[in-house]
Amino acid sequence: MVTMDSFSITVGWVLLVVTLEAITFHIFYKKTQHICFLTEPDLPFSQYFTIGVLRVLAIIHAAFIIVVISSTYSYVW
Amino acid sequence: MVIARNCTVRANLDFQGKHEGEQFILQFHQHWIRMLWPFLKMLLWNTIIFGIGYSVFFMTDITDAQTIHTTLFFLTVFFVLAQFEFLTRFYRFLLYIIIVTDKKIHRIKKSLILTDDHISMDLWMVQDLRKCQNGILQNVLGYGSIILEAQDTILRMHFTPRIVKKYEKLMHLREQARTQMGYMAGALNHNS
Repeated sequence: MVTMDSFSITVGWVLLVVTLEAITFHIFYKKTQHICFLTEPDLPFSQYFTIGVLRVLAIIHAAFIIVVISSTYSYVW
Repeated sequence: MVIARNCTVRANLDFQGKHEGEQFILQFHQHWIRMLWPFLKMLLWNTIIFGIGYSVFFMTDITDAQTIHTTLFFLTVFFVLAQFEFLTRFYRFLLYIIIVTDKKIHRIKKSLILTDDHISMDLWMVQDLRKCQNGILQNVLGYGSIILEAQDTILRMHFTPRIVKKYEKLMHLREQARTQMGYMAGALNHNS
């Protein structure tokens, strides 16, 4: 029963994190529609900041938060 | 950045607020140092949250399930908030952009929800062009503020990277734009 509670709460957090990450990235993507971003010599790694790479980074960020939350809940709950 | 859409020639780049006949010269974001404090703040919050979590769950003898669940809930809320605060700051950093053309200077400043600013200023109208670099860090890393004044408008560009080069380039472009405007005014007078 305790494990089930921990699981359902973790699922709730996962859904919240995924939703927030998706919303923030979607808004960011919409806002970049009328801006042309180019490779800039002043900004380190700017050539890697494509919209595709930023999407992958958002997924990695969400995955990181989910892993931290789920591992903490499974251990501490 | 390589998110340029629908452009084959760099000089013909289309961007928000571009007027006909404008030719793209350069663009830049703020210096990366702008992201240092948000990053450190996020690390600090994470350390505090995990420190509190460790001391509460592993260094004390709390057996009450309700207390454990409530503490865990609040620590998770703060952890998620710290993460998304950093993420929105990062997106905001990417959405602040200065675009210089042969005729104008555009400052596009957006945030995810609240801000959507676009200020543009004719280069030939710029009366005063100032460069400020205060402090060791700004001089060592070569960033600072460029302030443009034209009649009632003031355009401040803080955290400008490689400021000396940008300043010289802007001075050169301003003179070029003024020469062009003088030539056009002369041609108009001649025609009338």
